[in-house]
Amino acid sequence: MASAETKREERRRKILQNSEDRMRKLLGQTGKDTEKALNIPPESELSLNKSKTTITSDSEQNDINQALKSSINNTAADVLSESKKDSTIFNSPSFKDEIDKTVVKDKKTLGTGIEHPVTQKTDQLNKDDIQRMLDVMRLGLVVLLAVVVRWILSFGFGIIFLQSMFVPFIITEIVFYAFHHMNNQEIILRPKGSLLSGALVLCGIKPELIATYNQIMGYMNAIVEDFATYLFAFLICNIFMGREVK
Amino acid sequence: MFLMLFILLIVIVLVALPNYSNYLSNVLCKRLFKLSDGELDLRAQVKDLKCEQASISMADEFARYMKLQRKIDKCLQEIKTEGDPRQQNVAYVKLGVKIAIYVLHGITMLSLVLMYRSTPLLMLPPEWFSPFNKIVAIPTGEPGGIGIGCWIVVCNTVVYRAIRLSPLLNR
Repeated sequence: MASAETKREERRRKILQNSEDRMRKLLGQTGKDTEKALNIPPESELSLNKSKTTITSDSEQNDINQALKSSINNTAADVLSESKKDSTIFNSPSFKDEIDKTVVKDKKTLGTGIEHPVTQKTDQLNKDDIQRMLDVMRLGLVVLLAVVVRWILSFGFGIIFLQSMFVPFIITEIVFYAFHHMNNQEIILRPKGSLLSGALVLCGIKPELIATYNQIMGYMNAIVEDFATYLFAFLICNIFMGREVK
Repeated sequence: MFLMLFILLIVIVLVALPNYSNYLSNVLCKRLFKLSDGELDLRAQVKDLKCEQASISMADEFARYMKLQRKIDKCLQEIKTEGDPRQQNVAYVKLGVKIAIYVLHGITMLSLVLMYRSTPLLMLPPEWFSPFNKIVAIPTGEPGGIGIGCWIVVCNTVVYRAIRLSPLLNR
């Protein structure tokens, strides 16, 4: 009976200890603040709290108090020693990143584990802004390139040894989308229609495969749009620069 | 060159036309389906009853207020009964206008392509369009020429992209 109670008490202590350790990690507290943060009551209080525990014998109470105190001291000592020995670990960027991620995640979840809808909406708005900025940048780049290429071709010069308007376009697209793929992977380019992907989902195709398909179609759609815009800008420039072969 | 600009203008008009389908159908319905005298009388009656009801305090003259309310409800029911066939016809006209716009769009594009299928809109040095000579020359097939099919597709893509990017032109 007593051993079951001690085990219960030990388990309770461990659970509390874990939650306190997590809080300390989040708040970045070291060993000196440990005892304050833990709000450890003095020994007399612990021994007097008989009504809160089911332990009856004094010796067992003392044992538990000793065990508690020693484990807490050990933890504090461990933290202190770790902080002294491996202060670089706590100062390392990867550790800080991890804490930042945990703090950010906890902020988002507000400690409930469920992501707050307001933060989800904010993330979506930010992604939409980035998507829009990307669209405008693509458009600007393509139009500027068309104007420059048309101007160079009007002098009879070629670009990369060829008098072709599409070679600079192909190179620019490869560079742009390679950069986008490496750095902005979370920003998925919009595919034209979702009917086919919806049909594929119903046919039981794997979601990862459909995501890859959507990504590829997004890129293809973007490239075709850029091609059309480039050709349009080139021909409109041609109208103003006035060159026609009869 | 002028043909290219003309095609661009047609594409812009046909892309923007569905946005005005409601306005066009309302104008058409006002001409085709006029309100009958009976319905007009009922509407005037409802208006008068509502004015009278607004001048009465509900707390002081509850019975009279409710009597007027019952009269209003009865008139509104009659208006609804008389107006249902007309509303149905208005809905058919709106649907017809939308379909007509899309049919017009298709017929216009098809006829332009058939008329200018062998004539390039613009001729440029063939080496400028390599390696996509054949794509750009659709459906003429002449190297260095801009085909009407390619130009229509390009115009459509550009116009839809402009609509998507512009907050003012968003539907």
